[in-house]
Amino acid sequence: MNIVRRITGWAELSITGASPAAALTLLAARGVPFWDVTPPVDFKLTLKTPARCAEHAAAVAASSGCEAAVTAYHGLPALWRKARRRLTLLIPLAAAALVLAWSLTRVWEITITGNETIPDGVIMQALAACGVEIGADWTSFSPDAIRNGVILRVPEIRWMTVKMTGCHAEVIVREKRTYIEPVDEDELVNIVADKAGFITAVYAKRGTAVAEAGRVCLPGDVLIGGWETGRFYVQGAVRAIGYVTARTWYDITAAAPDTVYVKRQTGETTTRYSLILGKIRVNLYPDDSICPEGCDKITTAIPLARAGVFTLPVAIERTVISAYETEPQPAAELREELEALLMAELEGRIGDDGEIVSCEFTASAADGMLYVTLRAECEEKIGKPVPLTDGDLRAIQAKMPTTADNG
Amino acid sequence: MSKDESRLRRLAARLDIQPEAAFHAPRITVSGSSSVLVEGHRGLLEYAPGYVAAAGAGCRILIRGENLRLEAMDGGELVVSGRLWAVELE
Repeated sequence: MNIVRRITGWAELSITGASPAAALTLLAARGVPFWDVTPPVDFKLTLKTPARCAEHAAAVAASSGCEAAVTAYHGLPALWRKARRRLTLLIPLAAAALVLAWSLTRVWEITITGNETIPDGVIMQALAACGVEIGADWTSFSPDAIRNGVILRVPEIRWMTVKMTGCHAEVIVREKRTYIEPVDEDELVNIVADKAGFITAVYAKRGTAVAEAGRVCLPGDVLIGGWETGRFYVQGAVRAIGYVTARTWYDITAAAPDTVYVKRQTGETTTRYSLILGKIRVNLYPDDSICPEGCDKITTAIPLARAGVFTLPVAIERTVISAYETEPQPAAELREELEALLMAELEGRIGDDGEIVSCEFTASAADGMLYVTLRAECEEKIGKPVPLTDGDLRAIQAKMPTTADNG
Repeated sequence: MSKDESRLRRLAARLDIQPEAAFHAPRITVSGSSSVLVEGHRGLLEYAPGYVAAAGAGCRILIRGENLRLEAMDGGELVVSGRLWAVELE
């Protein structure tokens, strides 16, 4: 049944006679619309016709020698006629319509997008201070006032806006960017070792290579000097550019109590439901909502909403409480966890361009603690730029030839 | 077929005119095995769950099948749905 017929209403017509087919032919010939004709049973059939044509259709069918009667009216007009007679039904309907109309002017869901470092909670607090909160009347929102208010309260925000879709407020945020400080290309620096190692390669694009492959260096040793050397003498101070790779060795130890308790789910679960009406929560279970000891709680809210169309202040909240037991973690698992931690620590230390050549783990237990040690050999870049000191500059100046030397 | 009608048919054939356009002959469209549309009928003759008979210009259209149902009908068209077995012209 299409929506137009539901709105305009339709009637069921019953035709009884020796030849109901003749009545149908007459109806069709007189231009009376009808559809959904049931096959005749005991010389009786029923059909549907628009409500406005029902009486006329009955008269036309009766003129063919059959008995015709309208048996029922359906659709919106019929519903309206019924409701008019039952005020007790009409009043709750009107009240529901009013509540719906009122609720459509309120904010029932807020989502924040675009924030990377600022927590949602901070933005929500600032929004609440500017009047944007659950239950607020969104028709009175002033985007400029909200933007200014929030940016004043959260200075890390560069720009924001509130986009309303039905009762859903989408807060779009753009954070201030933190710019990387530009490298001063004119600054005079040495490339200095930041860790000890066995040098495997030296590449000096500018400056003088001090380090040599096959030698050992200690932290702070100058690898590429910030000066240019000519054939016979030092030409002047420069910014050293290049890299030095070296074999490095690491010895890192992690420790944890040898008895660590972990959760194991028992499989015993209890499900509870709550009704959320705006900011009010109605628990549909007898006891309180505090999670008992030895239990995990997972809460899922199912709002009465259609994404992008409307959101109503009604939701069903489902809480699943799962019981768990604690038991000692097996030593092997604990050791694996510590090994993974150590490996992550090592990868952080050598950086993206470093490479682990070999590594091994050893474990020992003492005084109720489990110690896991990582020993690794790596190959990585070990140089870092360090500005030349006044002393360095004076030393370079001293090695440069004087005017008299040139003459 | 009368002499005049016979002449008219010959003339229509020479002019490449479709018979349903020239003589209001029924046009029957069968959609799969579940629906049939009859255009240019002259009235419903019989209606039962197993068959539907309609009058056409100079013929009788008989639709046979199972659970047949008259979906809609007006002065020129009728739609029958159900499990169709045959559409016959008598």
